[in-house]
Parts: sequence; C-alpha cells; structure tokens
Amino acid sequence: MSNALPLYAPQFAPQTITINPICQEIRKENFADKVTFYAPGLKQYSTGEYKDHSVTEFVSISVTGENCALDCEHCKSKSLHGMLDLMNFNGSMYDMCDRLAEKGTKGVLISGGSDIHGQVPLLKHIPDLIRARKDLGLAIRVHPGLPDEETCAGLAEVDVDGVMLDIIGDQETITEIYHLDKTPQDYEDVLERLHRYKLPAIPHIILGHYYGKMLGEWAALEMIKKYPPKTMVLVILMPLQGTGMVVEKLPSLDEIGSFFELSRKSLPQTPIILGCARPMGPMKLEIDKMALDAGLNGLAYPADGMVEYAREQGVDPNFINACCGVNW
Amino acid sequence: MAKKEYTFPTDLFYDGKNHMWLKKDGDNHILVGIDAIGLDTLGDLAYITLKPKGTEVKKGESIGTLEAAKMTGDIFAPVSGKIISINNACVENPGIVNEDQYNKGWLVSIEATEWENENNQLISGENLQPWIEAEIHRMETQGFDA
Ligand code: SF4
Repeated sequence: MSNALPLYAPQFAPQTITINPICQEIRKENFADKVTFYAPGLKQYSTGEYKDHSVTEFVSISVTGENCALDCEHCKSKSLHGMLDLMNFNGSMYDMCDRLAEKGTKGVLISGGSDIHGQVPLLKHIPDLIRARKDLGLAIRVHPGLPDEETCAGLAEVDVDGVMLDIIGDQETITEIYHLDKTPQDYEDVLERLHRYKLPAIPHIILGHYYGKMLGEWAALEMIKKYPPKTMVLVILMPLQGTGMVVEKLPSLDEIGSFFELSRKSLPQTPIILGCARPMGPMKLEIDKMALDAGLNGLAYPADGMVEYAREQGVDPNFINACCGVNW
Repeated sequence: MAKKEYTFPTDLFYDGKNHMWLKKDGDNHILVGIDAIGLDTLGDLAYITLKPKGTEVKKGESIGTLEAAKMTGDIFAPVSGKIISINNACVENPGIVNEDQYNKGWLVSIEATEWENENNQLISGENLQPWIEAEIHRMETQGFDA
C-alpha cells in the first residue's frame, strides 16, 4: 500500500527541463510536420481531447494466457492480464483472428508469456498468422521475446507489421529483473537476426529498468543504432502494482529529457515514439511535453493537453487506435 | 479458468452503465463510488481528479477523471445534484479505492436534486442478481459476444 501511489503517479518536484532546440530541427529536416498519438485496445482511453477510441480496432492476444516462465520483477505476468486468452478460446489462432476481423478489428498484437529462454512460443501459430495476414488483411504485430532463427524465418513469411522486443544493454538487468541466462550480446544478436531476415524491428528501451536506475539504456541505444529499426519506442519503468518490485526513485525528468535528446540525435531518421508504459498523473504531463519538445514522432496514450501542445509547436496531431507506429 | 467472484452489497444502488455504486441517506445525500466490476475493468488506480465541492452536475456528466492500469477517462455522475464533499484521501492515494471500494474508497457525496425521477434507472433489490450475472457474462465473452 505504501508504495501504491508513488510508483504509479509519482510525486516529483516540478521543474522545467529545457530540451535542446536542435532536436526540433532534426525532426523538421527528416519528417513531415505531424505527430501521431497511439491508443491500442489494451486500455480504454478517453480524454478532453480525444473521444474516438475503440478497443476493438487493435487487439492483443496472449498465446499462453496468463502463463509465463520468467516472472520478471516489473511484470510478474500482470501485463498479460486483459489480453485475449488464446488458450481458453475454443478454436485456433486463425479462428480467433477471423472472429475479431468480423467485429471490425484491423490489427492484432500476438503476445504471450516467455519460456525460460526468453522466447514467446509463436512458432506453432505461424501458418495461422500467414493465413490471417493474407485472407483477413490484418496488421500483425508480434512480441516474440528473443526469437531464434526458425522463428525469424517464420515471421518473415507472415509479413508482420512489426516485431516488438525490449532491448537490454545491462547484464544485471537481464539477470536480476528478467531472470534470464542471456547477455547484452544476445540482444544484439537478435537485432542482427531481425535485420538479416528483413523483419521490421520495433525495439523498446525501458528507462530506469533496473529498479528505477538508468544502467544499460545507453548501451541499448548503441546496439539499436547499428541496425536502424522501423521504429524505436522509449518507455519508462512503471512497476505494476502487486508485483512487489521496490523502486525507490524513478528516473528524474532531467534524465528522461536527456535520453529523449540523445535518442533523437542518435537516430535522426528513425521514427521514435514514447510508448505506453510511463508514470501517470502530473509527471506524465511533463514527460509528454518533453517528448514533443525533443522532436519525438509520436506518443501512446498522450496526457490530456498534448493535442493542443502539438499544435502550438506547429505539428499536426492525428490519432491511431493501435500500437506505436501502426498505420492504416 | 476459475470464475471471478465479485462483491455487490445488496443495500446499495448501482449505475448499470458506468459501474458506480450509490448509498443514500434520508436527506437525499448520495455517497458514490466504483463497484466491483467497474474496478476490475479499471485495474489499479493511479490518479484521480474530482470536481470541487459545490459543483452542480447533471446525471451522466463528468465529475472528475481517473487514470488506471486499464483505463484513462472520466468519472460520470450517476445522479444529478450538487457535490457536497469529495474524498481527499482517495485523491491523495487512489490505492484506497482498490483496497476498500465500498467504504473508505468512496469518491464524492452528491446532494441529489432529481432522485425521484432518476432512481428508477438504477439497479437495486431483485434486479441486482440478474444484472450482475449478465454483466459477468458480457465481460467473459468480451470481444466475441459484444
Ligand atoms: S509501447 Fe507502443 S508499441 Fe509497445 S506495447 Fe505500448 S503501445 Fe504497443
């Protein structure tokens, strides 16, 4: 109870962080004057600036239900709650996609818990996904964990819209948070593999992943730079309530702002999006403003006021009811 | 899959659309909170704002906003009237709602001005059980049966 509020909607000392204006210049040089706000169906979303959210347009499916072998400290399988549970569905992956498509779904995120090697068991669903892509025209995003060669080859056949995975650049985080017998090099190898199979990678960097401390984030950015992805997503640690993860302090606004700047400068031509996990409440408002100041290309579930803020910056805001970078 | 169990005290009224509970005293003062299914749909609450004491609201209008694990949106007035008090403890620590939604987790007290016209749209008494069952069925089949 004592940490329920600080972790979700942290108290923070209000401060104004000035983002280097060069970031805006980089965005202007490389992208159209627009910002996209994303709102996938994982969460119902309605603010004073946006009322047209649909939870059925882009739906998340877990291939393992609520089961996961890793039990990561920040998640404890809680992020699988609320996804459609394929294990308890009377039918195949294709049947589920078909039923969803009938109800107006345009895209799916195929997710699930990992095995002890950090892989989400997607392989057996590949034939169904190929069919769902071809016959139903669904945009298919996947969360494969750390996919091996065979999975990458299969995903390439599916024609996935994006392969989303966390990139971890620090050994302690891999061992202590993910309980995985892997190294940062394994993550880099996966980026190389995705690149080789021409899969549209959407790496996520979690700021403050090691109990709120920034440790491997810079190394993760360096790895991603070597294989410029389709889109890069930045998120901020938000331990889910009930996970028991003890976080004394989240990254400061200063640290977050500096990382936004560095990311924009490091990947000038890659769309960078602030993803859905981040603190809520007043701190979110400040983080979201910094993201727009830093010339990021989009935000998931923006704080109320960001549509107006974007317009003040001369960029055209638009909404997509799907995961970061999906377009239809 | 284990069936979920929800608690719905039988001495309360419920706003079936927005999953709010209402408790009425003799002076048309209505204590308002979020019911068990509503809370399950929201997940852990992170942040609540409530309109100040003295605000006049119509049924269905926003009386505040909330951010939770599975939702960002408005809190809607289940009856028309004037907000006569707000629960600042929950504003300061929304986790209280998750812990004790029917007691310490109340959100606002409204002095109802149209109770006689509006209470028949609320769920209570013998209508309660069938409504709970229908709502549970709706949730379990969400995405397929909706
Ligand atoms: S951060 Fe973006 S891409 Fe990743 S899960 Fe959230 S909305 Fe989807």
